[in-house]
Amino acid sequence: MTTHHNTAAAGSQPVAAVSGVTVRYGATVALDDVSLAFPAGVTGLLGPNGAGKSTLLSLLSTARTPRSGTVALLGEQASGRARTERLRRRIGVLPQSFGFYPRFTVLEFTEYAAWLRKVPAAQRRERAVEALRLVQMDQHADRRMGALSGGMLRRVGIAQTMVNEPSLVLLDEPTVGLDPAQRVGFRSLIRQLGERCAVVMSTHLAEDVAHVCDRVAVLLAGTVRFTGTVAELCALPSRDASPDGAGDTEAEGTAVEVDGTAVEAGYLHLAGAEAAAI
Amino acid sequence: MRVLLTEMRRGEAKWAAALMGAVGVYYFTAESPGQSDWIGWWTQTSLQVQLFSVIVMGSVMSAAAAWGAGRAFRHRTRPWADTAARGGWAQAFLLWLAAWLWSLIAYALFVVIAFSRTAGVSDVTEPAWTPLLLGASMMGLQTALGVAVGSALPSRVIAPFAGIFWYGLFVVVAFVPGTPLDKLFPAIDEFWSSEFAPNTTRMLTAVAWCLALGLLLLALPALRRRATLAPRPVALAALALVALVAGGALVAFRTPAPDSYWAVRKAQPAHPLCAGSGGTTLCLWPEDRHLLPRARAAVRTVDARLGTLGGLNRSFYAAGLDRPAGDTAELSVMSPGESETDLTEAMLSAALPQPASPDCAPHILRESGGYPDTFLFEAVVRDRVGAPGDYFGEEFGRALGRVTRAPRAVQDVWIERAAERIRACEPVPPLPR
Repeated sequence: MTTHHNTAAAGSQPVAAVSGVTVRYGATVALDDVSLAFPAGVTGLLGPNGAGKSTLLSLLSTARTPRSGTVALLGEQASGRARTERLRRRIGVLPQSFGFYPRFTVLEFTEYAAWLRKVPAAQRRERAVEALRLVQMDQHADRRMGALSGGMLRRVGIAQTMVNEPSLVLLDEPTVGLDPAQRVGFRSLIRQLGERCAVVMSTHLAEDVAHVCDRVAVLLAGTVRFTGTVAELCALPSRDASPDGAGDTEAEGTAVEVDGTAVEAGYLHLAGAEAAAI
Repeated sequence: MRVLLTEMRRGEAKWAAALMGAVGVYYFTAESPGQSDWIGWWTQTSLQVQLFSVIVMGSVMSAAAAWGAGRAFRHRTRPWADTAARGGWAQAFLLWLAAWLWSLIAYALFVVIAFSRTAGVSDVTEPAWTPLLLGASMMGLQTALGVAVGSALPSRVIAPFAGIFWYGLFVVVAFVPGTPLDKLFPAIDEFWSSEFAPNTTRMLTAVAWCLALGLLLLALPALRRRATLAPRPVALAALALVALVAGGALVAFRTPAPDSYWAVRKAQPAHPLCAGSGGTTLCLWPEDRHLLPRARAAVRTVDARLGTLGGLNRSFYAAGLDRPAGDTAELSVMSPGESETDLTEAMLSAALPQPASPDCAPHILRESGGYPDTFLFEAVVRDRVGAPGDYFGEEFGRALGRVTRAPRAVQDVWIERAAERIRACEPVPPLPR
């Protein structure tokens, strides 16, 4: 297997970087000697389920430490309690399954997120209101979280990542479960977010990457198969669409081959030995 | 502060506290001062509030806290919250503080009601705070266990078991004496009359133990989760040290029987409150000033009834008061609401002489049907003062009649001599013919 060690944006200081990291879940290797750098802007982590995207995000969020290798965030090694705490104040995280407390109002929940991120008490209300305004949820600040639609919840999810004015935001499959219209709006929101801070977004939808990301890294079976711009990804040799015809109709005709892997129709399809290996 | 208020407003603990508040208000208002063994005594009032709050409210609030803490599982917020700069310990602390504050609000309500009731009876104002402090910290420990259980175990049915655990523990403590559990997990169910005061040092030690252990319990779930920021080892070590020293001290403390583990005897008052009439005197603790009018009336009644009978105790001292040697007796004031009748009856009982030695074996009187001779003596005295006692059968009645049908002078001599003999642990004189 080939592991790419090039940074995603040559010439700019990466906001986050992992170097030679390996993570195992028992006998399963989730990440195998992965090295990646994440510059400013929006970086997409593209790969099928089980590729190691969420594990990589958990490393970047400092929720997990690698068995081997190093994680550098915002210019610091992510190790040691004090340093980890300092880093976490500057990171925003939206997990794939975004849980919330339904009885909290939108504002209360965002303030609670600010408390979790150790935003100073005097600034919490102001930051929460500002974050909600950025995601256009300020007019719903007094509504209960349990009364919000899926799209609104995602917006609050983005707001809570921004409440500490982070330098790095990690989004794990942020568009899953949204209808097409909501997804379009949400992509626009992520692009705006990327203008304020570095964003790393995992997805298994090539379409998300195409619309949102400046850079993309393709993961497969715990290894990095490609890093570069979306244009570079699209310039790779194309393959036929999947035999079963599954895929996102909006992205038809975008299939490309990455190290023997076809990226098409919004999904990754494995070819030959890669499929057997996974 | 705002986050804490949000937690308090949105958490489930408020419903449990409201329910317990309602139950507690009923409990502390329903009791009649005349029947109560606490309304009128400040320390006993504090104990009563502490006992109800720890056993009943603390158990329920522990379950409520466990349910509240389980929200991270129910609402799947753990993956998100565990990436926060505030670790799991701080998050658990917030939940605990919110639930505990609700407990303390209800607790404060109970204190206000109970103290008001005591203030309405007592003529002094001497609230005892350390039992209340101990109760508050014990509820803190109970709530902390609930939060720890709810945070650690992803089960919806575990919450009630936190409450059941505490209630069961107090039942075990009540039925299995001699374990250190009652020292480490205090719910003081004792009767302290005016002679006792809280053992402040011991209670403050227990407060430190409860709070340190509670805070340590809150840290346990965070220690198990790798994703969340680990508690600071220095803070954990400091709390563990406090818990170890305080808990060890509580277990190591020993008390001379029969004193309570949690109480000490009060110093003797400079001037006990005494009511006298004729040759009869009753002295009370100053805290029982409210009993003085009833005591005066009771003393007059007893003095009139005992008349000139010799050999009986005529000076009565409330339990714990130093009393001079001679014909004096200890009087147990069993309730702060003792009536004149209660005090009269207590003095009449205490008027009967007792053997000087506690090892004195009873002397069986064959003529009375095989009952101890002190039974007959009491019956004779009661007959003389017009307060007949229990019926012990015909043979006993015949023996009683041999004394009571004798001339007054003969009776008086027999009673006086019998009293002397009882004090000397000797059989009473032969019955008059």
